[in-house]
Amino acid sequence: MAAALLPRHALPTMSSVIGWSLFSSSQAAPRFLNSLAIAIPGLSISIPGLLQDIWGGILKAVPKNKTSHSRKRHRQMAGKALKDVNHLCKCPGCGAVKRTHRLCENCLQEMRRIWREDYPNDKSI
Amino acid sequence: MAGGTVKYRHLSRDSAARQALLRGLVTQLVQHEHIQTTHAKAKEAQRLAEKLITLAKRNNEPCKRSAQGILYTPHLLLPKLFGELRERYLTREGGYTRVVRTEPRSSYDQAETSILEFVDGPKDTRFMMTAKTVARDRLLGRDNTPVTRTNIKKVTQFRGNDAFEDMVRRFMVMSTQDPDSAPASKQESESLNAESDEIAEKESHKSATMGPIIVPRAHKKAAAKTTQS
Repeated sequence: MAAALLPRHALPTMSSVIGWSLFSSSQAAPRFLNSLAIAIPGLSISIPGLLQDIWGGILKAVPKNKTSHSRKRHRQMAGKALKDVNHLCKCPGCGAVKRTHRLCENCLQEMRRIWREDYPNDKSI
Repeated sequence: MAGGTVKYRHLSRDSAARQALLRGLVTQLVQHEHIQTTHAKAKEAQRLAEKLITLAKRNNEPCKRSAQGILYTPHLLLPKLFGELRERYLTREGGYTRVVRTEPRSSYDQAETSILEFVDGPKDTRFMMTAKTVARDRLLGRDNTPVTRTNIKKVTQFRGNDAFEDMVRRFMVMSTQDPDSAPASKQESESLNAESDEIAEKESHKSATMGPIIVPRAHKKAAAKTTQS
């Protein structure tokens, strides 16, 4: 920037100019801030730190208590309870209560007994 | 099912494993006439089994080859398939197998199970259940329900009435012989009990006096036991 702005005769002194400008900027900024801090100390220094503490510690939403085992299980098992079995009827073969559209277990056992008698070599029954 | 329309159940297997599984199930079905598996497997094996019977009914050289490709033990089962099973289903137009739902497996997974069986085979559950129902109705002196009547019609359509009557008599003898086999019937109707006992006695007496040709050996044994006791 400095080279572009300065006319051509300033070229030989380029290095010195740059050096000065760097020096001045690094020195000037802290000085300026320091003067402001001295002028209003309460505002410029203490408030940002205090706000950080408040936002970080108190105002964020966090659980107050540990979720107990039972609460967690209740939440996760909601809507997964066992359903009532209403599709029941009496088995026409033996009179026991059975589920509709399903083979009666008693009768199936009896059938298997008969099959075992009739086909003693068949081991799959 | 997820992933759009699926033409068949994948049964959590790749193609080769699935095909192997179904071939195994169908081989066992042809061998034993009925198999009990999970419902999904039974329904899938049913498709293959029906196709196998169709091959058997067509009965030509390419069909024999493809049937041989399905069965795992063709040297044992091909004669049965192209003999007994073919004869059985020649007049029936499709619907050679049946899947009957049974109670879920009692192990941890509680899987839905079904029985896959050949219709009109020696281990036909509907035939047996209908016979048992008719036997019970006769013992209790009741009329058959309309459902039972349609079942009787279905069951005796191709098989004939004699085998069915035999089975009914057998069930009657069984239920009079040991009442423990049907414990629920006692609870169900105590008022009917006395009446049913009378009828049962009569029936067992009948079966005892029946000719040796009609009554199978098992019946005679049962009748002999009842008369002794």
